[in-house]
Amino acid sequence: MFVTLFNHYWWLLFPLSFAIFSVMRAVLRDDESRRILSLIRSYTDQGKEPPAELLALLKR
Amino acid sequence: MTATDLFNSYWWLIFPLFGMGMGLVAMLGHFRHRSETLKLIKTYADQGKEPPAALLEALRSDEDRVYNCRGRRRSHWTQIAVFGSLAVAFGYFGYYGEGGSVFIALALGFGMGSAILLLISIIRALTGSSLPKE
Repeated sequence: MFVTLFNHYWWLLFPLSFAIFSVMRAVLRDDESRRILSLIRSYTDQGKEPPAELLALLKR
Repeated sequence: MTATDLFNSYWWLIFPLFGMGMGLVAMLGHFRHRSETLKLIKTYADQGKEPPAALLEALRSDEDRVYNCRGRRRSHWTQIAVFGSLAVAFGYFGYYGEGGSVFIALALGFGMGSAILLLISIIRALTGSSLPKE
């Protein structure tokens, strides 16, 4: 059963892994954006101007 | 079909799967690296200090590699060589290959894609336009 299924649909490995990679990248990117926002918040909490490079990172 | 037959038919899948695994490890490694850099910057911010410019620069310079998969910027001629050989290889396989209709369809699809990318690379090389950043 598994062998027959694999024989027919082995090529699905490629689009499926691409989809999984895309989801993982999106999740990691979201996590990073949250970290950057929290970092910017810690600057603003202290009444300081956050570095321009950090703000630029959010624009991508 | 036994496990041996399956391996005989699909042994070549080891290489793309290994490549995917390496890509995954590299992606996770980059994100962990960036995450640690952000933590370090936060330590500076919490102490009310200005983080070193090199740390912020490290985040910026790493961005293309993480988000656009363009860490190693290729020249036009490298692109032409890569896509040219892909187009020829897939075109040949699609036309003469014997591996079932799905495989031929895949080969033709990738062959066409490679041919289009080859054409774009040649136009870029002739017009001298740079590779897009976004």
